[in-house]
Amino acid sequence: MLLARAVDRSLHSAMLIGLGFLYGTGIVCFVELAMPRWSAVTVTSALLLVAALCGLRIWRQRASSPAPRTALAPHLFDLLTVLVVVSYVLMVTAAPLPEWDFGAVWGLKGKVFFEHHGIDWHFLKSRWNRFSHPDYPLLLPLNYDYLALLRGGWDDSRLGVLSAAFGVATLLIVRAATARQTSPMKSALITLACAPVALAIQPGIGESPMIAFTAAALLLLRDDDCHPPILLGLAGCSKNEGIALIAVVLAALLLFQRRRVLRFWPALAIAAPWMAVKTILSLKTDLAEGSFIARAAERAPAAGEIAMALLQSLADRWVWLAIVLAFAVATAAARRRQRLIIAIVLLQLAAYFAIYLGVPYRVDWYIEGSWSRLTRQILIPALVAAMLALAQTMAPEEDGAHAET
Amino acid sequence: MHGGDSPIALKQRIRWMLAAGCFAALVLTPLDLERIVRPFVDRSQIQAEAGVRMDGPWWPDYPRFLNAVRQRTQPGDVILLDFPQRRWMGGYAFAYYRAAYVLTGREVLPLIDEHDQIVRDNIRAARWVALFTAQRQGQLLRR
Repeated sequence: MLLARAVDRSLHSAMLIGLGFLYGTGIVCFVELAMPRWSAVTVTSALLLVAALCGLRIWRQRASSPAPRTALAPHLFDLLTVLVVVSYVLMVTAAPLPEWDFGAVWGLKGKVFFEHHGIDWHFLKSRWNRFSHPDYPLLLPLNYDYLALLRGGWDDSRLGVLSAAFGVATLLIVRAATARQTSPMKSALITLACAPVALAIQPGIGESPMIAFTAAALLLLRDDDCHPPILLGLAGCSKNEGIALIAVVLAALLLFQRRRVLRFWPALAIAAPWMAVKTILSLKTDLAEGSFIARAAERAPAAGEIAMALLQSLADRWVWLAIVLAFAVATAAARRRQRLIIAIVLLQLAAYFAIYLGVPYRVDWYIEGSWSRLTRQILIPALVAAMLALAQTMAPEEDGAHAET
Repeated sequence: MHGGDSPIALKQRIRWMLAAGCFAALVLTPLDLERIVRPFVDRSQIQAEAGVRMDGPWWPDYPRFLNAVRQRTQPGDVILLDFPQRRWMGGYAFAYYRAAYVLTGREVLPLIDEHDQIVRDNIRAARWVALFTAQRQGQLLRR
């Protein structure tokens, strides 16, 4: 939270906690990436040093104009969201995480690194471990490692709590961001609607941080050049789709708000270290096998069939249909306010479609294994944008004169 | 109020109702009541399902075997995995990935590769052979 406050002194309450947690996971990632060997003491000491530097920056800024202090107005519907969160925590801590990708990718790397007391580069480079996707960014496994260091041992029956934490951080940010734009009741209901998505259906894998960083970056994107670049960079540290998201956001900004593009250099700077490591160690994604362009060109005539397959396999289809209907019902002014998010969501979906055209193996296998997860990564921004458009349509006078008092 | 609403007011009212209906739909549609209620009612079922979900028909014998192999070996040991399904995409890959997770700290080598060919280099390199049979019996053999 000190880093979040050092970046932006105006942060408070839910937004401060949500962003503070997300930034904290990023700091853990970079500290452990930088250290060849870990222990609970050394990693915690490094984290405390970072905290101290942030505290120093906050102290030195104290003389400047005081940050406005406004409180988030709670609403009764927030209790329903709390209920959903409690249910999720009970579920993910009931047993060792059963997701296949936890045991073969995210949790596997975390466990290997934990027992190695550092990143096991030999493991990542081994030909027999390619199934674990050694090219995937390491934010999540490295945070598993920090939890294990603090516990003094690896216990995968408790690691689901990290997925819950990412979900809670997402919901706090949704609640705080929407409270600036609509009434407490509608803000609480929007947060409730986002809860089942923020609390990932598949706990333990990279979706949790990716959903969190994507939602946070896009929800703050319209009015803020400070946090979105950092959050996008951290999305790039969570999953390869985060790199695609950075490119998509920059493309959308070029279309609508060209002057802001250069201010997003931190996103590239934060994602760059792992991209450099991957290149140096030749940790390749399976997409890089053979010629991606040749495969995409070969599949281009079947693009229509692939698009139909994607539509038929769409998870949460009723939610997506309701989102489309929402934008159809909303006023033109309300839609215009959300056009940046709409553009980014559509561009990201188009990027996924383009990637499916060039995958090395059977397309239907990839669609079955990944499409539902990929669409959930951008569902929260689309859902919030749709609900805010409806809120403004129902009560245009609420926009800006919101109930955050 | 004089007579009926003007067409514009009527259109706005219809739009408001549609917007409210969409808003309510967007709140309710993502919620899965069964998923929300379940952990409060029966956590033990979630625990039982987790094992089956991870190990399928080999639950609980295969993970039990792997844990026994872990207890009998040391960090750094090289272990060759022999599993009854000798086709990579026909079950062997699952067994290998599972073993890689349980036996972290050791180097786990597959007996076959992605093309279902025996990897003789791995046989030569291994110090131990973790043998799991179709009858769900396990043995740890020293080479």
